Amino acid sequence: MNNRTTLLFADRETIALMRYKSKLVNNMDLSNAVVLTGWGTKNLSDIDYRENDNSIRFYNSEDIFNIGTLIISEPYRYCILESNILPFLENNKKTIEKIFCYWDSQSKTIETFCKKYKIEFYNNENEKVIIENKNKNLYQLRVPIVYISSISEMSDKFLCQMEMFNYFKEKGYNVQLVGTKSYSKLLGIKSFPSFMIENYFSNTEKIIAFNHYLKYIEDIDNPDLIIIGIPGGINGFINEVPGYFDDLQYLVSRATKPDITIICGLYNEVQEAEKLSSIIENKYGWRLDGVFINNMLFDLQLSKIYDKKEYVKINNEVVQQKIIEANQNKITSFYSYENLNKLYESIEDKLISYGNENLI
Amino acid sequence: MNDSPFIHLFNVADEYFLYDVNKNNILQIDFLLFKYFVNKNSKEMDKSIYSSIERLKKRGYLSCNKIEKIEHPMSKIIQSYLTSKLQSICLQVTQDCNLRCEYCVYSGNYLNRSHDKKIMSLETAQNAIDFLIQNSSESDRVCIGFYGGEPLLNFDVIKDTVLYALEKYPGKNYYFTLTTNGTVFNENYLSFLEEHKFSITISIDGDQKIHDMNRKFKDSDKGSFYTIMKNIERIKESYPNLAKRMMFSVVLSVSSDFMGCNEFFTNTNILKETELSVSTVSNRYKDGEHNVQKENNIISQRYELFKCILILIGKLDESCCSKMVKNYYYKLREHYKQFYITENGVKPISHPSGPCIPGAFRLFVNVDGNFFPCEKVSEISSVSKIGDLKNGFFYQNINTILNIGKLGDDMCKECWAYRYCKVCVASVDNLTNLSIEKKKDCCKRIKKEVEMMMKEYCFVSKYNAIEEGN
Repeated sequence: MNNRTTLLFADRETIALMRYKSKLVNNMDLSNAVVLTGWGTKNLSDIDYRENDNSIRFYNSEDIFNIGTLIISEPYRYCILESNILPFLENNKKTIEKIFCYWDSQSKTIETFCKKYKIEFYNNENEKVIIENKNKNLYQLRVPIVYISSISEMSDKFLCQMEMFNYFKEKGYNVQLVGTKSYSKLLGIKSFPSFMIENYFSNTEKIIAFNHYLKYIEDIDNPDLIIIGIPGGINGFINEVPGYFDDLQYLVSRATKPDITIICGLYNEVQEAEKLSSIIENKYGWRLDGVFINNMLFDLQLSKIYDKKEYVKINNEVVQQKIIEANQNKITSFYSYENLNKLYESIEDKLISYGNENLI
Repeated sequence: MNDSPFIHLFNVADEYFLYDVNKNNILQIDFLLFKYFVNKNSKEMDKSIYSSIERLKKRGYLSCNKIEKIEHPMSKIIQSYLTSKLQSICLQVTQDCNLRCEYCVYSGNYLNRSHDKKIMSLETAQNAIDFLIQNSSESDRVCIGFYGGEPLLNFDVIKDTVLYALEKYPGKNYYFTLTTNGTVFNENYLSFLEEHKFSITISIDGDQKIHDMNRKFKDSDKGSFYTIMKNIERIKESYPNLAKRMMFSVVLSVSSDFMGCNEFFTNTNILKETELSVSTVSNRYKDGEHNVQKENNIISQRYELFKCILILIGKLDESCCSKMVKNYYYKLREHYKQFYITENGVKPISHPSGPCIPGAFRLFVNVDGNFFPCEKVSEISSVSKIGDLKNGFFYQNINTILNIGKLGDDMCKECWAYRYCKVCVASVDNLTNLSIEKKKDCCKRIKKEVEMMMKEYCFVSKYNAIEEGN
């Protein structure tokens, strides 16, 4: 079987697939990460200012051949289905064996294409989690639970989840991750269950179902640790820019109490993060163990002009400096990409210390 | 330590107001309290004044906090911003022009370059596009503007540059603009501009008498009015989509007649649907005496602006708004809404709001590939030059322009209007350095304007004419 895999497109939303391509299921060989010229992306490091690799391919490049498995995700950057996606599919239909589509709004169009050319098609519909709620009680979980949430969007929360997952995995722990990205299953981890986001269930049903879902993971996988990424954010809505109100954080907080909580934030959310400790304890009952700050800044002025959220990438050295200044407050511990391992080490120490007095 | 509250006092007829700088709120107060704050005489403090002050302090007002250090909040991340978030580039495709307008900033009457035959090569234009793309990875939508001289005199470069951007860099949502004197159109140009959804700004100053006073052809000294009107008719008839994206730039010169202009743009059929951008002749970089508007023009303008206030409070219908001030009317609501935002105090490290992020929102590239923060600065100014295509951005100059408040920083630290400042490098540029004297003149004018805006806001608020969120 051809393991060659192509990603359409490589951007901030799909960067995790490239950063952790060695974890892709079925030995998928992600050797083509396609970008449109004009996105300012020549190398992987242009996307998130981290390490480079040679997987970036330009859209019309002759280097793209033998597509194999095609992963399509909703583009974060500017892209038109009719001008950029459909022609690509047409031009490469002979070498596409299957498509994993994580672009919900265009799923039908792409599925139609697949049916026409007899290409295997998969989307989120195939991956739904079904939970039967016969028992209405909440289970007490024995396994340590880590929640990873964020203040708002674009804070690389999924990267933080994957880094932690890999850290504990490499240490030999049996760790399960419920990831926030729709393509989580491609990386061999679980996806955040869709029933928590859909409108079919009441909040009570969702809380019970989520608790049962975690109990199911505990019973079947027998993990040493469950990491749960929570989609959305604590402060998703900004008065002046379109956003969202959601109660997902609260619903998850009712399902079970975490042993560890990490919050992810943007470069300009450091001040907000400093006040977070008491806010999340009062709001959700979580005790904050650390804050991860990434290299994105939310640009309010531009966001108001364009009526959508706009961001700026900040140099890593500037972020580092901010982290150093923020850590002088000694109330909250801040981490960046460079020292995330320190956060995980402290979490590991804390969890080990829980085991010193075993619950019988 | 300063223990005077950081406030500004003003009155509108017999009503008295206090603007609290730390909270960015305007409060109506009684005359006794107003007088107390004006005189700062503790002997005038009686029980009622004391209670009022205590009540205000409990609500968080009357803080003495002022800016301790002037530094723009973008200073630390300016390099990150300019390498990932460029929004727009404006290409000076030629310095040549077929008109010789009396008030042109390139006429020799300004501390700026003069008319020249220089054109931008296609290579320079393409390099500028490459630069824009390299430094706009976080911007999906970018604007490419074409400027001059008269840019259509170098139409081939405009066309090839647009096609270059579209073909080489399809991953951007482009928005093209052109500023033109409106005399050089032909079918070929118009088809191209319509096909690529250009927004065009045509300069027309009023009716034939007003317009031709200043805007004349270089070679014949004849006025350009009839040529422009014919072209506008052609656009309206044959290029309706382009016509929808057309606007007019109107310059009120010393010899203009405001009411005559108003009537012309309101009553001329082919012009009345089109938006106007109205300005006066620039005094920035003026070499010699400044242009001063005629008194009757100022009075007419003020009268129309006053009508905008009456429209806002419901005493006049919106149809009474002069076309010449329509943009001002739409901006009024936005200006007033700023006072709805309650702030959490003056930050100890802060900067007046005047300067833009140099280069980010409107990077101006001249024919030689030199960068300026916009087309309003002088091209012969060493202070305002912020880079070039060969070397990229000059961050030292950029930081100086961004932190313009450091020029005479004590003034800014004490300034009650710092949130509404409009001082930028163009206002204080002496070509080789920044002028504190020019800054002082600017500050006086801006403070008057901000106070006037506050007074209007207070007047309009009485009629509940401003709705939050509208």
